[in-house]
Amino acid sequence: MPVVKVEDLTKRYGQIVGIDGVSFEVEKGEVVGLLGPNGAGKSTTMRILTCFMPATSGDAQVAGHDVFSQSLEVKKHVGYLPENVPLYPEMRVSEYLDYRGVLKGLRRPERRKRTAEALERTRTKEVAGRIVGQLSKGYRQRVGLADALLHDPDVLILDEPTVGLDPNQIRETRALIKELGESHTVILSTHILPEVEMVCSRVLIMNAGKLVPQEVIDRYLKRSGFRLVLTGDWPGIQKKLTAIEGVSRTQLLDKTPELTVSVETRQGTDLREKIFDAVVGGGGKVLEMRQAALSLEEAFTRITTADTAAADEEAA
Amino acid sequence: MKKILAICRREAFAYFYGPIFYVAATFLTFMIGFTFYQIVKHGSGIDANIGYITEMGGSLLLFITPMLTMRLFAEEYKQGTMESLMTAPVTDWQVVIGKYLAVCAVTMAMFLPMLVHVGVLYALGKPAAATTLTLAAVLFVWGAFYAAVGLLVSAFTREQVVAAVLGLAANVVLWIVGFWLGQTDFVKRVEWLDKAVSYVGFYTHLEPALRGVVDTRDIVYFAGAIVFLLFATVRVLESRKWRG
Repeated sequence: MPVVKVEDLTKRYGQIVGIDGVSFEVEKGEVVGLLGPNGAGKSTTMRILTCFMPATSGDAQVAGHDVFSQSLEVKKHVGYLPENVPLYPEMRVSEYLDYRGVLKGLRRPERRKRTAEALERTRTKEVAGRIVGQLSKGYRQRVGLADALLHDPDVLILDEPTVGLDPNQIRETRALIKELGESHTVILSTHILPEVEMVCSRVLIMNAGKLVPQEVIDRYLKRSGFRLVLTGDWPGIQKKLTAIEGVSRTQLLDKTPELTVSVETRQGTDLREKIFDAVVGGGGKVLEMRQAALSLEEAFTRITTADTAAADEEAA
Repeated sequence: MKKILAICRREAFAYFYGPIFYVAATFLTFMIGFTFYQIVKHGSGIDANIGYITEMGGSLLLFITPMLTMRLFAEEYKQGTMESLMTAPVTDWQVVIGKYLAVCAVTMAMFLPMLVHVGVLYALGKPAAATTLTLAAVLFVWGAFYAAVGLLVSAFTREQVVAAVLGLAANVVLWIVGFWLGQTDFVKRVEWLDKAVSYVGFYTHLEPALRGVVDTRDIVYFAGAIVFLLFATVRVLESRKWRG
């Protein structure tokens, strides 16, 4: 049974559509990356799953409980790190975690134990006695994470957990999330793409309030491409290149000093010789040819800049 | 219950980290001390009890309570901590009651220096203990009523200043309805209006107790008003969730 089940979820703010008919499932133990540009609906989705706001229509279940009618049960099973990590600035870190522990229904001995564990895991032990308002962004982020872990929830929902951290902290946080993924189900949102590739077992891409279908993402990721450096007359060469079966897209990236061109192909066929012949046939000369798989980043940019329907068509 | 107390504790301690509590408590102590001085200097035949603390304190709370209650929800909205609070396994009622108890406790804490007055009164005279307790209870109810109004108003906005101004405005309106309106000739002339105003207005329900007359109807009035205001606050929180 999936731990998180979202069905046709829609949220409208007056006339503005926050998310529109989003459906997905997350199995136990998965680390799922929720990807999308700003305003795509990532935070809205997370806020509905954490019972912070109700959806306009549709259903969502977390750990077998409905987010609307059984919100208290859902909250018990979810650890949430909101975007921008809101904390009470006047409290000490240990005080804050103890307070959160009470709210999460932990009894004193358990609270002590779990607070110590959370401080240890998020490497915030050294700031336990400090006042939250004086912490650096990196520490605040980790205190927020410690809070999310406190009651050992089944599901962790992390809204942009690495925003504002320095490269070392980002690496540490990613390692921690990966480690947490071994014993928890994690949904995290981000717009840092390498992060998703490093940490997540699966990716969901959101764009303009809609979830991009998995087939579309897969199709993009299945494509590979070549980077060529040529001399010659581009329109003529391009015509020859696009005529090759299996080439889905050509693009001129740079004109000086030589032509730099990207050629995308569908995966599974080796087109290197055909491409070489096509360039020569078009009156050009190949100076360089390099194979490059389409990265998630390119797929993401392609999907989120075109509208989904057009992207779908293009991919097919 | 534990969760309510935890919320209450956090909220109450937050006051001690900011300046407002100290400024208000100092102002209150000074004003009531000054009143005491005036009574001793000019007063004669006044019964030696804490009535002047209740009347002066209650009147000043009209201005002071909104300063205390303005941050209750407005600050949580602004800081974003509303999100972590409401996604913890707590109910809206637990949050509202926790915050309410905190502001009630803090309001009473401001009156702690007045114990000196009580000490002096008891050292030099023989005030009736029952009356002292009644007057203290009246002060508490007075403050608790304004606190419930302020709490409700704070749930409407993320701007503390707006919450303070709205709270003050609400208190003034309640004061006008409850006190001043009942004194006007226009209302006095129409019997049913006079009755209605005196029933709705809160001062008419405080006034007997100030004279030492405790009526169950007045207790029911305030208990009902406070429960209603807290209930309204919970509903406002719910409706804000829907609007996102």
